[in-house]
Amino acid sequence: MSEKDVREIVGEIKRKNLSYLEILQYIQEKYNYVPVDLLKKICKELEIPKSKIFGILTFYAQFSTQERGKYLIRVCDGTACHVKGGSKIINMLKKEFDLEDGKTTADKKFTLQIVACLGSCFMAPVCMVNSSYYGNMDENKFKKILKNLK
Amino acid sequence: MSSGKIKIYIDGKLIECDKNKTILEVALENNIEIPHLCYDKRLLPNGSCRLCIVEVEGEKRPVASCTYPVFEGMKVYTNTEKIINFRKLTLQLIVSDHPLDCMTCEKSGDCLLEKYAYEYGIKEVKYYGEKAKRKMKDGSPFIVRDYEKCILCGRCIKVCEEIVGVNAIDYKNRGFVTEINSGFDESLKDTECLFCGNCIDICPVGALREISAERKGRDWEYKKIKTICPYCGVGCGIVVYVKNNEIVKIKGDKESPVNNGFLCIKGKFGFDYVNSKDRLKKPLIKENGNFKEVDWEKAIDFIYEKLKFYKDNYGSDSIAGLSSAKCTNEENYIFQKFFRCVLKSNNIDHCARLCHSSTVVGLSQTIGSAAMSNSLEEIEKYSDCIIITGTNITETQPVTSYRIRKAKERGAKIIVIDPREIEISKIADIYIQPRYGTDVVLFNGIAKIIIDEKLYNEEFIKERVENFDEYKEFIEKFDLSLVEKISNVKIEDLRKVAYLYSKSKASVIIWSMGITQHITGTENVFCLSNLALLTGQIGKKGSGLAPLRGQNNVQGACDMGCLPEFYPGYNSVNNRKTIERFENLWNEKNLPDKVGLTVVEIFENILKGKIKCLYIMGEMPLISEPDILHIKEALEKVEFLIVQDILFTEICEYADVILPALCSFEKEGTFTNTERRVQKITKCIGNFTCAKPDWWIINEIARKFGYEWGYNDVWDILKEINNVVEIYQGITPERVKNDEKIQWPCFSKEDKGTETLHIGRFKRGKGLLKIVEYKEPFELPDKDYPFLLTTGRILQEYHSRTMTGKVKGIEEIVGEEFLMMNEEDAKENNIKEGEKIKVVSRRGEVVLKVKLSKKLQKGTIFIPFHFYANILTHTKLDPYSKIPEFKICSVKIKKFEKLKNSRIINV
Repeated sequence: MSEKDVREIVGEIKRKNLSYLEILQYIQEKYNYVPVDLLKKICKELEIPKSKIFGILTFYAQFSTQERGKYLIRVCDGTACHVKGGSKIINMLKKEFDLEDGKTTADKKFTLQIVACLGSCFMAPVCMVNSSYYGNMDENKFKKILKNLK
Repeated sequence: MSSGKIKIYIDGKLIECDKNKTILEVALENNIEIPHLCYDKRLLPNGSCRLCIVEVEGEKRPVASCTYPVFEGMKVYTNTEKIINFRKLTLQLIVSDHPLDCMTCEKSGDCLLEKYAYEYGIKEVKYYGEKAKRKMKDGSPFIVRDYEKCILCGRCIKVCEEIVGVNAIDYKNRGFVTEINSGFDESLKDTECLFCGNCIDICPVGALREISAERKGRDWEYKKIKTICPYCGVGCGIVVYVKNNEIVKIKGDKESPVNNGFLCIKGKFGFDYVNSKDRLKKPLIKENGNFKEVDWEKAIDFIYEKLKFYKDNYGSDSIAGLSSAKCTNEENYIFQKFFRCVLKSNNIDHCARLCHSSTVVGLSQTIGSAAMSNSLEEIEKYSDCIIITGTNITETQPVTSYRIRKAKERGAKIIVIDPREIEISKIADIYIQPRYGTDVVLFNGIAKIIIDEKLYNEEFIKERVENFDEYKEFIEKFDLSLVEKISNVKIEDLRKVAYLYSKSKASVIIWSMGITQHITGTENVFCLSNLALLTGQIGKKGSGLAPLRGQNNVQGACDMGCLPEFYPGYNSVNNRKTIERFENLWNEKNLPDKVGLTVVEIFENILKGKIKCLYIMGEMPLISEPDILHIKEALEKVEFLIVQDILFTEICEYADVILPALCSFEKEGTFTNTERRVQKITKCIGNFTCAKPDWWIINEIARKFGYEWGYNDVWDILKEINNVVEIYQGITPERVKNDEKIQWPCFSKEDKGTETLHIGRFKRGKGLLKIVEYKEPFELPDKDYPFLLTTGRILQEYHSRTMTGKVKGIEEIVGEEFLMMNEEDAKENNIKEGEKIKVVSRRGEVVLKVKLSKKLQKGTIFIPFHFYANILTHTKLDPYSKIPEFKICSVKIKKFEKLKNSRIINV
């Protein structure tokens, strides 16, 4: 992150008059994760208490401080999905893509997040890729979907 | 908020209460105990600990009493079986995640969790399982953060946010892994933390503790003694924890009306100097350049001989004394009495000359009394518009700044006028950044708008103000466009200030050295007084003029007459009646009736050879006076120098005799704080060296001269003060010892004191409007010295650092001595953060580390005066009050080749 980036982001935050939560969302949208060093610099520039923004950052599971792949895969391993084979999908991801919970593939294409519920148990097992839902999945169907992603 | 009384029933008992309160507030006020961990009456409730649950008739479930408002006819049950069982359950859950090491815990005996576990009979853990793994956080010189013991009540977060306004800590994560964090897991030192330690004092369990007290003792082993903080003019109440004659820790006194238990870094942690190796233990006399220990008799004989010699041979005017705003009222009183009765000299002054003498002169002329007109609590609770000008309040009177935040929360409008973008400007509704030294133009501008737009209070002026017509004529001719030209302030902003100030129900102007330390200091004060008089914003609750005093007892030292122009109680020296009165009271003849010399003049007259003897009690002019090199010369030149202090300071080197004194933790007496409140200091520890209280030393010298004043202790002196100083008449030793904290004026034993001054009438009769024309500062930047230097204080250090400099943790936090400069200036001059540069003025030069800042105007440099800034400042004085212009001089900067130690170069 260059100083110019910081200046630009700070300018944007000021222009849009973003709240702390919105600042985090804005950064995550821009970089696909929240780079901590950048966030510290922004805090300094805008005189935002670090503790406050860090509190929000760590409260919500949606924020990641680790660099993430182009595609964020969320696989549900909650009760319904687990029973219907969610864990098989997780095993497939480990075998085929070398993915574990929280890990990113070497080519920075995929990041896996195992979650407890995606709120769509009626079509369990459920997975998500970025903002799209995939219901009634099994390991083969999901593998195909992922392989087709550029 | 509308107020009104309602009736409720708590456990069947009928209680009449305010309708704006919560159940818990009402219960506690009526001595009905409801257990609570997260609630503290000084903070907003958040209902997180669930221990204060009660049953309310009509509610299906128990409610948290700390957040539940009362209503008419409400029936509350605090102790039903159901509630008790719930509380037991809650306590069980908390205890199951809490280390049960009470037997070695520092907090034992003072721990709320322990207390409630005892009261509810929680003997064992019922819920086993994983415990939260919160690690001990390190990295702070003062605070232990033992988060295993944390119960996540959030009090520390709230005190940091709501009271101090710093937000150094907050929750991290959620659910089981929640913890308190300073942001990005950083050490507290790398955060905004100011180390005020209020989080420690408010923590209900042992999670936050003082490093100084680790393994030093348990709560019941300490003697807990209430006294007053020795640092600034706020005069915070403190509780000193003593074991084996050692001060182990200090906590805020929750019952003090001054600070409600809150402190700043200095009051909480700044007591290391008490046991410093530099404490003076025996009287010392210089012989052939070396100090030799002597006993008191010899020291006093020696002083007597010398003083007598100079008095007899060169006259009383050859002797001068500096008293101390750090010493008690009684000590200051006896100091000036000694000078006036025994030595017959009015050459007595103290550091008030350097801070608020222009306020004293200014307000004495316009309204007759210069003390702060309102109490601190009034500002918090009643002021609707607060103008803060020329005072970096968060650093100079931190605990007062907590009240400003509270006022803001209540809805008061905050206006900050300061050339530096100081911390408090963050919460300002209007922030105005004028050029340095242009206050007169700016305030005349506001007055002009007030007059032109008929914002003035006609009725008030008619009844209580004189010189209005002349003033109006003058101000009508004032050219408003000058404000933009000279002060660089937009007229629109000024208009907003004028309206807010005059239209608010209660407005107050708060100021300190940014207004007073100018050659126009007194005139600046005239301008502020004009605004109050024009609008009638004085003499009401929450409305008035509030000069914030610097030292713990600078108000008292002035009241006691340690000033060359006043006898005690502000009785003018050159008034025949004063002299007669005091000759009578003191049973003395030929009291000096000529105005004596002020601080800066004393040093000038030493250099001229006119002053030959100097007696310094508890001051360190080598930091505090302007143009230090010139002071050094004077100290070298003066023929006989007595230094009376608690520590071996830099001036001791120049002394002929050094007298060891006791510090405020070792003696008794009274301090008068910024809001005129006279408070008792209590002896907390014994000092077993030869050091003595200042009053004793002076009394002994006076006795040697044949004066028997009959003082057996300080309270005898206070009795005499009751007799001599009108405004202290009712502040008797009995009342003081009874811990009454009375605000003067207090005229009789029945008088409760005076919270608000100037109600109905000014001391001088009518308020006087003063016509003030703008004058430029004495030394402005030019071709050769292109930068403007301004000086001030920083939070952690106190004045000449004789005390704070001995506190290891403070030294660690402040680090190397520094200056601040604008980022752009740095870039233009190729200077980087952390680099050392040389700053040169026409008087001298210093070398300091650079800190970059955006808060300074371009072309200015700020040096905290603790760091030898006064090597650079000049001695041009305000003609009325003789205050030097510390705030403005011109300097140039030079790149500096690395040298090992800057301090050596500086002095």
